[in-house]
Amino acid sequence: MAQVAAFNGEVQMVVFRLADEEYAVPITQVQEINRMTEVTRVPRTPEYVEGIINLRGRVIPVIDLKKRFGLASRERGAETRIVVVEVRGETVGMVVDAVTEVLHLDGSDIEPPPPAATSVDAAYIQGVGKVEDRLLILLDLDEVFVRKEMAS
Amino acid sequence: MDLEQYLGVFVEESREHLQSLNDCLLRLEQNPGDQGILNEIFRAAHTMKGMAATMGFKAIADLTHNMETALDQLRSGRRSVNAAVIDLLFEALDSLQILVDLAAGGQGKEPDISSLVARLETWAANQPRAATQSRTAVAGGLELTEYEKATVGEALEQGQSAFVLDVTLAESCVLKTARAFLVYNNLEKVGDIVKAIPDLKDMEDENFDRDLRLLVLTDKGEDALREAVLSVAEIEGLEISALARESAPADGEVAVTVGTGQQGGKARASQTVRVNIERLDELMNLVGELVINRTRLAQINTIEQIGELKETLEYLGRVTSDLQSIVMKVRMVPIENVFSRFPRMIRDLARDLDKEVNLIVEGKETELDRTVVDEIGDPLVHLLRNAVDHGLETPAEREAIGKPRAGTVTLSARHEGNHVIIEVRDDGRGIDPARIRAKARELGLLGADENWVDDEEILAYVFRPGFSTADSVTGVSGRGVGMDVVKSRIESVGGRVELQSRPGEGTVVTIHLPLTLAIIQALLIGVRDETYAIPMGFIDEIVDVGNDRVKTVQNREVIVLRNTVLPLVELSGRLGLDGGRGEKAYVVVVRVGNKRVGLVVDTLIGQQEIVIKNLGNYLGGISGLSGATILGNGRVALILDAPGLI
Repeated sequence: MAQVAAFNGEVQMVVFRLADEEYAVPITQVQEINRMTEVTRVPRTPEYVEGIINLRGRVIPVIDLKKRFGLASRERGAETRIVVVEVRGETVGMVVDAVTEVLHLDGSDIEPPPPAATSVDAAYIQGVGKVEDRLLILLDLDEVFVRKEMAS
Repeated sequence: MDLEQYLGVFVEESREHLQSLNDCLLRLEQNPGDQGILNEIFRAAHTMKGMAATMGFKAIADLTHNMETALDQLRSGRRSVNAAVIDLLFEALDSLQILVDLAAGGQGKEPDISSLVARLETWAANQPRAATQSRTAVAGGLELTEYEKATVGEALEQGQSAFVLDVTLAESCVLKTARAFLVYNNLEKVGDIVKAIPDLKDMEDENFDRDLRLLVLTDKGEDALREAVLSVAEIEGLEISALARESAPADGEVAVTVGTGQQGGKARASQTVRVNIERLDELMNLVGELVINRTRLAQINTIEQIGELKETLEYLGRVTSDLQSIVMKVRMVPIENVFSRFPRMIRDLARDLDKEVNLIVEGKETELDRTVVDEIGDPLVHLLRNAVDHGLETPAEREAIGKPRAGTVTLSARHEGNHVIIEVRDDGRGIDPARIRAKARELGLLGADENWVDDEEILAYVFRPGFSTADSVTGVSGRGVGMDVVKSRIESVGGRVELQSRPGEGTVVTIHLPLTLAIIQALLIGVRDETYAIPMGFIDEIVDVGNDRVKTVQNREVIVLRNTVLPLVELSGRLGLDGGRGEKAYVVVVRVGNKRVGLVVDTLIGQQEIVIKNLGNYLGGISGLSGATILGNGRVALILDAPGLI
């Protein structure tokens, strides 16, 4: 099967969980992973915008990734994390159910997104990584954090 | 040598030189005979040529070289300053500007300078207008070369004095050469002879009459020189005149001012350091962190109540405020950085539109934060263009109504409290409220309440998007974009803009700007569980109201405050929090333009210095919010933007 051009050779991915599915983003995009903290709500923003947080003196926006993808929301627990990523030169946070591991993925194990095989809109998916019998959904964060959706 | 690393410096210095060239040319246009200005222009062009050649920007070097040649014609007095050459030089500056922008990595096509260069060459090569024109580059009657001028300038800068000595030998003197040599030698003992007429060779050949003229630099006084000369026998006359450093660049003393000007510039430069604005931003951020943490510590201690800590905190507080004010001062630049380009712009504009304009610039030394300065350039360009294009009448029209032919546009800046006020004022035709009203009606902006809007308020409609009453679309302005952009740009840096006008008398646009953007005084208020900050700049007063005072007029909630009706805005509703008003409510009265509105809040927390953090691109641009700040307890609070809320 065709490889995904963006992934050549070995890549290191941060794997996290949303509901029952596993997602991954390249470790080069991840700045840090924090426990859930107090979030200040921002009015006049879409529902999935959780608000803003104080990241050691910087104010960064945080979105709830499950709400962003229209997945059923679940109680936040001890495992809930904010994954701080760098997207389009901006630092943003995303709330995930849990961060599970960091793993190496070979480019040959990454395939283009199968149509309609996941619960997330294909536009946000760069590919699917196969690790033994697990399927990792590789997110395209540039698409996830597209500004135009904010305009509503 | 890696030239890349010098590129930034080159670009920045070139821009400074271009600015100074522009200024000087404008001044020269007014005072065509002024040698001081000519010399300044020559020097700036020369420096640019050298820098450009080193950096390998051939076009810039070529162009400046040709400017220099032309300027030399003017400087030497072989040609006189006229409109043609000024225009030619301005044109060259414009091309240089483009070339420098390209060097800085700007986009665009490199302009073809060959025709310009050719015209400059032709002009310079043309026969001098009058060969008999006396050379003016003289000092005390001595013609000096560039090198000699520089020497004199340098010496003066170092505190030495320069004297011109006129020595007359006795008529009876037989050994003229010997006497002259003695004078020369004696003077060499007390100072340095920069120039002598006759020179040594002529002296040897006895190729002179009885008069010697010498330019001497010395750190001793006039008396020492007198003594040195008079100790020689057979001296009939001696006249000593000092060349003062401050001497005006007139008549005989041009050379001196040339030298000192140059040296003065160097001496000043050594006192300053160029710093990347990003580093200053970082510094400001860090100081901001410090302020936040100081507040945090103070808050902890209100609970812990440790006496010793209190003292330390007070000291820390003083240090941080000092640090903060120094960093703010470092970031301050005179508004001149923006204002300086306007005289040239107005000149060109007046010429294009066939109008006569006097531009008066006041308060250009007024300082404000670099980021604010960067933002106001474009809005000011727009306002000035409007003033000249729409505001001022043509000279003929002005004469017909008894105004002076030349219109006056005043651009002024001044400090007022924590703000900088910038005014653009013209004495033109003013704005007719009736026309604005008609236009607003046409655009459907007025609605049913038309009669509620008075003439003063109607003027504010020119700031609405797409609003333009210019009858003709000129190349300059009147395309119906602009005033709204001006307004939003100024509001984006926390400023506000107002317009006043009287038909027939002129228009004044007033811009209020905060001194700095990074740290402001704000009132912290609580609405439901959330804390918000309202910049003090917006707040007029705070009123404690019971619910019973709230009345409803035409479906809007109002309170009556000192006999005026004040409309209310329920913040909880505006901010999408749960509706309904709590038991106790306060009204924060904010002023936007000349409109007053009461914001209903639940609690007042207090006034505090806050550090403004930008919301970033992802969240930015939400109306009613101008940013966020981190409170003493580490939580983030949003900063409310009053104009966006009402």
